Order: sequence, then C-alpha cells, then structure tokens
Amino acid sequence: MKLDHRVTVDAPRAKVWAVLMDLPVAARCVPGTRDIAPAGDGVRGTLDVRVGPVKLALAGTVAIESRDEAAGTARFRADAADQRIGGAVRAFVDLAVTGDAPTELRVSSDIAILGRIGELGQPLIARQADKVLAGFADCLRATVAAR
Amino acid sequence: MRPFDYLEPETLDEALALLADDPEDTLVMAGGTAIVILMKQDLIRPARVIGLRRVAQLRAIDSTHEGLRLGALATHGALARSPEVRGHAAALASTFAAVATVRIREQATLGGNLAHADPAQDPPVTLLALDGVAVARSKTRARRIPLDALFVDVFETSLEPDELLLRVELPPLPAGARATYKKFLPATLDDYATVSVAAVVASDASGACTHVRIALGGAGPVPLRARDAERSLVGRRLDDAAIREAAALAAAATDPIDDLRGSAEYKRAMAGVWTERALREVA
Repeated sequence: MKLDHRVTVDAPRAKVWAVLMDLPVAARCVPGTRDIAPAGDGVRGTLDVRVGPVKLALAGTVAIESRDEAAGTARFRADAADQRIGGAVRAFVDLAVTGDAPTELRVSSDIAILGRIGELGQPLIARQADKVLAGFADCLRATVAAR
Repeated sequence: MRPFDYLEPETLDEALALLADDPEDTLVMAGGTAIVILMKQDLIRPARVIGLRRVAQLRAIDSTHEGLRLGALATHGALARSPEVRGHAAALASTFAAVATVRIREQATLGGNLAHADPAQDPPVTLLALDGVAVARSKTRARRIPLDALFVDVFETSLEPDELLLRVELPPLPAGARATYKKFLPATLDDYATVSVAAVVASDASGACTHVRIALGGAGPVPLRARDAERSLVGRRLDDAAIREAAALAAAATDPIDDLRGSAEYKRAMAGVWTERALREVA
C-alpha cells in the first residue's frame, strides 16, 4: 500500500532536517509511540493503535537506510510486529525536504501489512495512517519551533 | 474463537455493576452481530463479555408527549414493525427495515448498532436527522449525548468504557414535518449503502422551510449532518434552484474514503444526487 503525505513547516530547512534525522526525537513525535530507545543506528519502540474495539501494539524498529542532506532526501525502514492479534507491518518511508522557511516535507510510504492486521482493510489502515501523520506533523512543527 | 468469561446479568443495575468491576477488559454485547465476527476473526480478544439480552427493561419502545424513546436492546426488526416508530416517522421504520437481511434485523439491536459506529450503517443517519439524543449510564453517573457528539471516528464513539447506552430519545417533530431515508445500493439489496441520505423538512403556510435536517451516511468517518445545506434552505421554498444548491452544499460537506463501494469522488457526487432526490421527495 502506497501513501503520500505532505507537511509544511514554517522553519528553516536545516532545523527541520536535524529533527527528522534525530530518530529518538522524531519517533516520539509519532502519536501512540512508547518505550522509544536507541537500538544500533536506529530506534526501537512500540506504537499503540486503536481502531474501535481493535487494539494493536506494534513493537519494532526504525532505521535510516540512506540519507543525502544536500539533496534533502532520506529513506527509513520500519519493521514492527503485533502480539495481540498477530501480524506485522513493514514500511519503507521516503522523506523529501524542499524549500526553506517554509520547508516542505513530502512523506512517501510503501507499507506491507502481513497477517491478521490486514483484515482491518486497506481504507481503514490508510485512514489511521492519515491520523498518525497529522499528529506527527503537529509535533514536528512544535519540536522545530522549540529548538 | 478464544475462551472468555461470559456474564449474563438480568437487570440494568447488575449489568452496570459488573461493567464497573473491569471496564477496560470487558466487551459489552447486545445482538452480537458485529462483535462476534470480530471475535471469530480474532481481531478482538476480550477477557470478559457481558451479554445484555436478559435485561428486558432496555427493550422498550415508548411514545410519550415528550417524543419517542427507543430502548437500546430493541432489535431492528422490532423497531421496523413498531406502530410507535411508524407513528413518529414512517421513514424511521423503513430505515430499520432497510438494514441488511431479516436474520440480521431480528438479532441486531439499536444500541449495538450505535455503539459499533460503522459510518455506513443506516439507523444513525435517520436518527441524526430526527435530532436523536443517546442516553448513557455508568454505575455512578448518567448523561445525554446528542447523536452528532456520540460518533467520534470510524468504529469509535464518545461512550466511556464503563458506560452502557440505555436508549435513544427523539423529540416530537414539528407539525406537518415530512421525512425520508434514501439508501443508494448499486450492488445488492442487503449491502451497506454506498451513500445514504435522510431528510426532514417542515414548512409554513407559504411553503417556506421552517425546519430542515439533512444527514448523510457512508460519506465520511462518521454519519454527518449537512449543516450548510440545511441553513441554505431555511426560509426558502423547496424549489428546483434551492434543492440543487442544497444538494451541492451537502456533497461539499462529505469526506468519503475510497473502498469497494466506490471512490471518494464518486461517493461525493452520489451524496449530491441522493440529497437532491431526498429533498424532492419531502418538497
């Protein structure tokens, strides 16, 4: 499943980039995350997701696969599994930062849903992703502004 | 399905006390048509299920001078056949009659339907257009929740884990009010609606609208009121131009998703078409 989101941050590009590449900080900005801790070059933690009566606890890692500050692009890889209902999520997230104050962030995600989580259906999963991204965008703006 | 403790209280007080013991890990079941499927899919694994079917006091359907009171455990079938429901608004009875199949209608309840909060369901749409208010209670408190504040998101309501939905109350309709419910079913008759529209209109002697409610289903994450469309009609006659303008405003109020019942763009267009049809019927 491919999803595309855009976020505008009214701040210098270098500041936005620095927050995005600070994985523990960026990961805590994702609403529903807990127990974020450094792990190797990336972070591990858990993302709690609730869809009505269905509750997921996605435990896993996020790592930076590649980055090019001059071009303003980076690729993250996220792997997480849920023990409650059984299933896993693997995502490649491409970030592209353009402009400068305001800085435009484009987030292109390629998400593979494995196992029972898929029964929730793609429209519902896409909607949850929209909600998570909207919360992340608000936190990103606040974090950048506070630096 | 995994094993779980099943409790069947006989009274409301008993049910509320049981729920208060462990609200976070308890699932409340009315007709069970939605949650039993989720349990069989293993998407939810409750430790405890409280079955409400023996709580007879929640089944009542009453008509008083204050309006209509629909018990949360009334089935869709009972509501579709009820003279009280039909007397309040025939469109409400036909809304319940339009849900799924006869087997579902005789099992699924009003309260279960509302608590499940699937935005494609039928009853919430007509109940919204009829100014429905949900009455909820926990062991320690009671509150009234207008239906547009009950639905928060897809499958999510503002009910607290320790609250039970007791009933829905509908105020009396303005004199001469006309109501309709339109369900767009391009595939099969027992499907969920691609979009659905309920319209309630009352007008004065000159034909100018004095009361307008337009509600939409399948058109966003929650059933919604098309308030701009409603406002555009107040004080006007339901002529061709007014109806078309209101239908366009109703379409603009939608926020549908792409799914197997159509693209978001298609559903938005159909919300306009079916709003127009609904308004022509009550004009």
